[in-house]
Amino acid sequence: MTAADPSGQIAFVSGTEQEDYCVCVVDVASGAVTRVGPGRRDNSPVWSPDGEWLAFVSEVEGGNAIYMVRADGSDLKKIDHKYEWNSDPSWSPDGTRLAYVGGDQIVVYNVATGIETEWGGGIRRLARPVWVNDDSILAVGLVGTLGSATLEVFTVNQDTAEPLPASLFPPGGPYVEWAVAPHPAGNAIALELNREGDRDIFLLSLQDIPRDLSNHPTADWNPVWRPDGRALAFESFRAVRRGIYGVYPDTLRVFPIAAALDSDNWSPTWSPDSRWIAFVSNRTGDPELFVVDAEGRQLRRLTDHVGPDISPAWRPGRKP
Amino acid sequence: MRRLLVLIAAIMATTAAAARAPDGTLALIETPNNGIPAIVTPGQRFEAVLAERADTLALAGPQRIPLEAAWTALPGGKMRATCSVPASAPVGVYALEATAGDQSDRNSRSVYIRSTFPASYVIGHLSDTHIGSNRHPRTAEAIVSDVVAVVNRSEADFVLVTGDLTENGDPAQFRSFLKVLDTCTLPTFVCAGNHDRKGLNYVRFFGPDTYMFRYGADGYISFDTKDRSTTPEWGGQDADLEVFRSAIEQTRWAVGFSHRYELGQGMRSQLILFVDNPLDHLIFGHWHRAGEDVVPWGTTRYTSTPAAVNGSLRYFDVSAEGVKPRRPERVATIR
Repeated sequence: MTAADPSGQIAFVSGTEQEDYCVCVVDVASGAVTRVGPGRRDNSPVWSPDGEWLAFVSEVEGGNAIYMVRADGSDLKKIDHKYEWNSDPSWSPDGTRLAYVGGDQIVVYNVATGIETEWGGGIRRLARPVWVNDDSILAVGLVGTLGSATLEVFTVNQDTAEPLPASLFPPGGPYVEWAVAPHPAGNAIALELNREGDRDIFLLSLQDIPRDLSNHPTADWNPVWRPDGRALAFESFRAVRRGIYGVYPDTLRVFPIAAALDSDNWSPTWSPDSRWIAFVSNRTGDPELFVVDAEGRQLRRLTDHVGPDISPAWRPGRKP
Repeated sequence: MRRLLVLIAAIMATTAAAARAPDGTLALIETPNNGIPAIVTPGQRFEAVLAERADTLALAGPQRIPLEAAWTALPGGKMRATCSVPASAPVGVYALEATAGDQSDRNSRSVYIRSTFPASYVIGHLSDTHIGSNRHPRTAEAIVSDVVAVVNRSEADFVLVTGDLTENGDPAQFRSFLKVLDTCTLPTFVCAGNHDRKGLNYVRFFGPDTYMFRYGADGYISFDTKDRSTTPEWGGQDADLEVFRSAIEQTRWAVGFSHRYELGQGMRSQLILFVDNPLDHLIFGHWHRAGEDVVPWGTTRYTSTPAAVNGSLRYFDVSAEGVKPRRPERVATIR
């Protein structure tokens, strides 16, 4: 291994069938894999900001629970939930709390006290929570009436849940909103907006006019900020199949990271030093993990198992 | 005498290749098969996915039509054959036969050559056959066979069979389902239901559960998202749906068929099919009861059909006027 090689650890989900999907951790340099989950439809692994804990979802009798475990598989514990169905875990920036969907509302779990608190002032049908800062969460809410349902991003606090103000959005709305990603500095958000059937990645902030970052007639999905906040990775169909692209918000330069005509590439996750991207590709058949550098070069295969390896999450560590 | 020899030769030819693997699962040929057939007119092409490159021909009794194929390598080592149907090919129901070295395979009822695609036609819809269940005095096999016999006598152009094909997804039940399915004289398009999800059994018997096909001016997408809600990236279905939806964007009617639809299922799939570029119609089962309405997002109309294991089916009229469901019919007795 040289200084230029990627290193660290990546959590991911591996299995042959959905019933035995298990959260695992792979050492990037050696390729050694450690199973750390119970292996019951495990999914959605996310690291605590300091990289000490991994939270994920696993099946339990009558529902899904959030688990926590250390990278070596030790100290596995299940959160004692109020609701049977729990999903979409997200760590607070200070690492003291976990937000997730419990039932159909946002629940915040205090890691030290083990107490669950419902956030959002009783607003239901909220999903995919992500923290903006230690006091606020963004979540996507299903709103409207049957026959005219839509999705809006809400700012969720302990006692309230309010849609993002219309002044943040570009003219021409309303939009169907999805996949929101707060900037690492907390001063802007990237999210998907559907404009007349075209789904693009937009940058919204209080300081600037809204910007269409991806701006392509094919669908652009799932923005993921580089840890240094200077670029985004996202998924796009501009080469027919699903590929991973990058964009610099300052210049709007879009560049391919992992795209092919005959295979799909998805779920990008950045290394803590912003130099590498791990992702899933089915270019060899089963979905497997691969790594490339931030400009899409130096492709290397990371896993090679029967059955899919998906949902990679690079363990935080060194600061960018 | 000469006719007799030709007949014997034809019989020998049709029995020379094994159909599927001995356990009923797919072998050399993945698609088309009797659950995902190809419907074409003479001179058109269709795509086949095989485990390896092979010689292909369409087979119907004495008719043996060699198919010229253009080959493309697929991820994982599979091969896609774009097969050209000769302009002189007679209309009929064909098996696709493939031979690679000493391995030979034949998928029956997998290629339908039609003289033309009508502007107006009828679809048959069966759902929830639950083969292997003992919920009624008559077996599911007997009830569903009666339902199939009725649809055989109808004016339907093809049949959608939307999931819960089996009671618990066991291979023996899939083999029983295949026997019932092959009593159908029409093209049959199947998809998986929650009862069929036992490991990868469904995939081993029918191949992909997300696929598309064109029928004349219209486009159809099979999908099943409910069981993917917790692992949305698995198998890349979201990407397939996006690609398939784009592929049929210019069709007259875009129709989805699935085992079930619920607002709580995979949201990405719903954004693709009902929000970004809404389907015109969605056809499903699962509820074991009739239902018609608009999906919560608006635009896309949906229709659910009562269970075939309870003796029911439904027809749809497809024309320039739209995709119009008829009232469901109870056509078989359960005791």
